[in-house]
Amino acid sequence: MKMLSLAIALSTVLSATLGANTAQANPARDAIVAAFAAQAKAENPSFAGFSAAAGNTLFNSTHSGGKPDTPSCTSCHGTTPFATGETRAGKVIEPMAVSKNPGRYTDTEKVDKWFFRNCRSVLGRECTAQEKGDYLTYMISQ
Amino acid sequence: MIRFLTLCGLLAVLASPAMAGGPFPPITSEAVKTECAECHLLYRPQMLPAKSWAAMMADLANHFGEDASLAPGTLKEVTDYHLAHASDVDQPRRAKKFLAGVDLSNPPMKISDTPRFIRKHDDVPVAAFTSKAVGSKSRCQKCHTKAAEGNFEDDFVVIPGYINVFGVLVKKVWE
Repeated sequence: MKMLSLAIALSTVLSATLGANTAQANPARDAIVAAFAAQAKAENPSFAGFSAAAGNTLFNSTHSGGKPDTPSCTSCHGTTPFATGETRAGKVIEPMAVSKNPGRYTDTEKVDKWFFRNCRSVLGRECTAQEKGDYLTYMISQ
Repeated sequence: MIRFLTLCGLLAVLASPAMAGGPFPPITSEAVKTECAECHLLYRPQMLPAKSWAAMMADLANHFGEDASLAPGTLKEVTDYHLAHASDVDQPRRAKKFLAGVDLSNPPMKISDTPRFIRKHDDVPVAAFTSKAVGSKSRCQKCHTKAAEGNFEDDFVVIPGYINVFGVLVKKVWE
């Protein structure tokens, strides 16, 4: 019985992983995540991979240290990765979730530009490679 | 003869589209069109003097409450374009209108602080700017329906929650 439930659990995880991969795989995006992984490893020898849960927390938390008008990612991006957001100047921001917006995170320059700006706006510092990878992993899973 | 020439000149000026208002000249820099419009309406370089643009572009890391840093090459292109088309540099009549009354020793950093903006909006209630549908003075496009094309003419203004009755703004209390 234990064996069976283990098998079921394993197959669920596998199909979920495979499903996610087939739905959201993109060579350019994979390369961006891989580059952050390499960087994270260089920054921290005990790097143990990226975490969608940590990315979720990063996205939804209210941070201090950044600029007062933008304490959270959700200050401008929608309240969920599936919602559209709005810049403070009133421009629509397309959803962050890859399932909603398959073109997301496929252009290295764009990814670097917005992490640089928005981490400084929201956190008051640049993000670590770990944080960037967690964030992307979360958005890719959504 | 001189009087006749003056009259001709006057007629030519009156007949020119610039005199009748009309939109701002199109923005020809791809960098400006892309980078500036990612976060906000494409404001026109002719709306502020060069000194304001120079100060703004030198501190994009603190851009009205956000970090809007650009890569060095892009920054130079965006800065140069604004300096070349600033209200005290560019030739179109629109630029001159935005320059009128501006103190060049201490120029405004916001378009909404220029004398022209203030004068043109002096009949608009504060509540019309702060309403949920508009939000702030930075959001030109919420009322100027052709703002993205550089057209801010009165004919294309629709203020959410208000109607214009013979030039007087009336709040739609029934909504």
